Amino acid sequence: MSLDNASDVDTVPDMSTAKTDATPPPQISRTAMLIMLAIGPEERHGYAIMGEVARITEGATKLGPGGVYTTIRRLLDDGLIEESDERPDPDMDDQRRRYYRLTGLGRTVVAAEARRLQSLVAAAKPWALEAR
Amino acid sequence: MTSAAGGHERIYRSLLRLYPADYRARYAEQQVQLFTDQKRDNGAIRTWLRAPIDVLSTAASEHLRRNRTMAHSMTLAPTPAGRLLGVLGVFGGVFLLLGFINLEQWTPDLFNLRLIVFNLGAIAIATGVHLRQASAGRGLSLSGAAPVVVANAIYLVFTFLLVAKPGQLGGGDYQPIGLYILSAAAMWLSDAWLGLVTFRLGVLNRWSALALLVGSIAAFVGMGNFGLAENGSIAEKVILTGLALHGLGWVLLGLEVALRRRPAPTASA
Repeated sequence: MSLDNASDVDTVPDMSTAKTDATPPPQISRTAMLIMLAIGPEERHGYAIMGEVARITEGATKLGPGGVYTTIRRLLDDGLIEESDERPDPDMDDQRRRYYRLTGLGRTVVAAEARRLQSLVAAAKPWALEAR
Repeated sequence: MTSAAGGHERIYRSLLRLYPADYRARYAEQQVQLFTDQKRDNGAIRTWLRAPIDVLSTAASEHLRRNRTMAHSMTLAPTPAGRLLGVLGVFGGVFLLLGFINLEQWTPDLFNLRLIVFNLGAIAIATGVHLRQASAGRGLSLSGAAPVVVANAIYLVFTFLLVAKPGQLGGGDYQPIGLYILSAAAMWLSDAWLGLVTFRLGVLNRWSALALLVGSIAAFVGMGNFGLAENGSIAEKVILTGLALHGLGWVLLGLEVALRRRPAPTASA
C-alpha cells in the first residue's frame, strides 16, 4: 500500500474482513493514532479534535495547538486524513475553521492499529489486568 | 478586553515565527484560532502555561522533519555495488584489526588468509571511495585510488605465491623476498596518499581519512628499513598504533561507502 497514492483511496475497506498481515500498516505515532480516533467517522475541526482527544484519554493527554496541527500535517501528507471541502454554516460556526476526516487508508490504519492493541490487551488479560 | 485578547494573539502569533515558513503559511491562522478557543474556554493563564512549550517542541520537530525530508529527497541510497565494496572494505579493516588478537598464535594459513582479505578489502574500499568522491575531483580521486589498487594487488600476488610455495610461511618470513617488502612499503604509502586525497576532497568523513593517513604513515615509518620491527621496540609500538588506526580508517570508510546516502545527480540544463 503506497502512501504516495493514499489520497486516491476513496473507498472504505470492509474492516471486518481486512487482513492485518496482508500489508503492513504505516507506522504511526501515539498522537497520530489519538487524533485519528478523535476524528472517527465524522468530520472535525482542530478544537473539536483537541477536546475529543482529552475526552477519550480521560484527560491524560491534552494536546496544544502545535501538537494538533503538526500531527494533522503529517497525517495529511501521509494520506491518512483529508480536509473537507464543505464549510460550516456561518451562523453556526466560524467559516475559517477547517474540517478533517479520515481517508479510506486512514480507516484501514486505525483498524489495524486497534486490532494490534486489542491483541495486546487479550494477551495481557490473564494476569496483567489483575496486577495491582 | 478586545485589545487584551488581541494582544495575547499577537504574542502567540509572533511565537509561530519559530515554525518553518511553509508550515506557517498553511497552519498559522488555524493554530491562532485554536489558541483563541483554548483561551476562551480555559482562561489565559492556563493556556499560556502550556503554549510556549507546545510551540517550542513542535516547531523543533517540524524543522527536523523538514530537514530530514529535504535531505532524503536530495540524496540517493548507495548502489548495490557501493554497498558491496563498502562491506568488503569493512571486512578488510576488521581482518587487519584481528591481528591484534593473539598475534603470535596465528598459524601461517590464517595469517595469510588475513592478508588476503585485507588486500581484497583495500582494493574494494579504494574503488568504493573513488566512486563516491570522483565527482569532487575525478583526476585527484583516481590518483588516490589507483595506487592503492595496484599496490594491494601486487601484495596479493606475493601472498598467493607464498601460500603456493611449500615451506615456511607466515609472519616475519618476508626477508628472502625483497620485492615483497617493497610492495608492503608501496601499500602503506599508497594508503597514506589515498587518506590525504580523501581528506583533501572532503566528500567522505575527514576523521576516517585522517586515521588512514596517520595510520599508514606510522605503519610505514615503523617498518624500519622495510623490515619488521623487533618485539618490544618503539618501532613496534609505532607500527601497531599505525595498524590500529589504519584498520579503523578502513572500517569507517567502508561503513560510510556502504551506508551513507549519496547526493542525487542534479538535472542538467
